[in-house]
Amino acid sequence: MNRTNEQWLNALQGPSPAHDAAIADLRQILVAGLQRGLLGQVNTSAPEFESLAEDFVQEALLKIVDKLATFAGRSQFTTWAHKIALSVALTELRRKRWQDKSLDGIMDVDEGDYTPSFAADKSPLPHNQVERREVMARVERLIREELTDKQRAALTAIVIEERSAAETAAMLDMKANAVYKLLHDARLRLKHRLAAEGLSSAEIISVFS
Amino acid sequence: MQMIDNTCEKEYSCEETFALLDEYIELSLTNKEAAALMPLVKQHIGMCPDCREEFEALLLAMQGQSPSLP
Ligand SMILES: [Zn+2]
Repeated sequence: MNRTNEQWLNALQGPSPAHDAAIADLRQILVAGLQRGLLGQVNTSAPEFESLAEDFVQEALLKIVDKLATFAGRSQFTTWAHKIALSVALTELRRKRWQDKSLDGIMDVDEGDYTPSFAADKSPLPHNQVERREVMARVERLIREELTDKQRAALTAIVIEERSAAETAAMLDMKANAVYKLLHDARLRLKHRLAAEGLSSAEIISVFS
Repeated sequence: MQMIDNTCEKEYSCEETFALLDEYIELSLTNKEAAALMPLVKQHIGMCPDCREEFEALLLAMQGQSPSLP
């Protein structure tokens, strides 16, 4: 029952008995793939998982048939198909997760006036508290001066609040795939600006280590 | 800060990374130097949590059936 890439493509291309058999086999392969791939994400042995996985795979099969022409043949066909099925599943799971989280946000009232600090990532204790504070202030000033509001908002959401790109995109009313580009521009601007100020990021890291 | 330090002039977008992910996974699984052959994919996965999540899930999905890999 192992098909070559060519056999998969031929079978999936047009309506034929081979088509139906290929779809049925692929469905099985992809459901099993989701079961393994989503192990760390959801409880894959829960009874609800099966119908969830079948929904994901149904959507993925439509996409796969629709995108057959874009399969470049640089991998096994099934690897490519797994990739699409997992992407459908993870996109949907992320959406569900942040929708739930946004409900949590409504329920929980945040206490205290915690101000997120960009420079305070998970760095170890500094050698020099004063030097560290000065560098942090400089970096935060650059972030204020150099980045657009949108870049800053995206950086805060992703780096500080650890939201997914999809969630950040929804918050900022932009497409998920544009968020990475926005952040890349932001990082690049900061890197250039730091260099222009004669402050290499390696140096900054060393202050924090 | 590490993130800024790791920033390159040219980076792959999520789409470019996704387009190459199946190939990258197979290279990783067959022990070839996937990271050396496709450094921009590796770089993007290191920087982008969503793409990293997809990479890790695909790796798990593939590892369970790896005997049939070429
Ligand atoms: Zn990405």
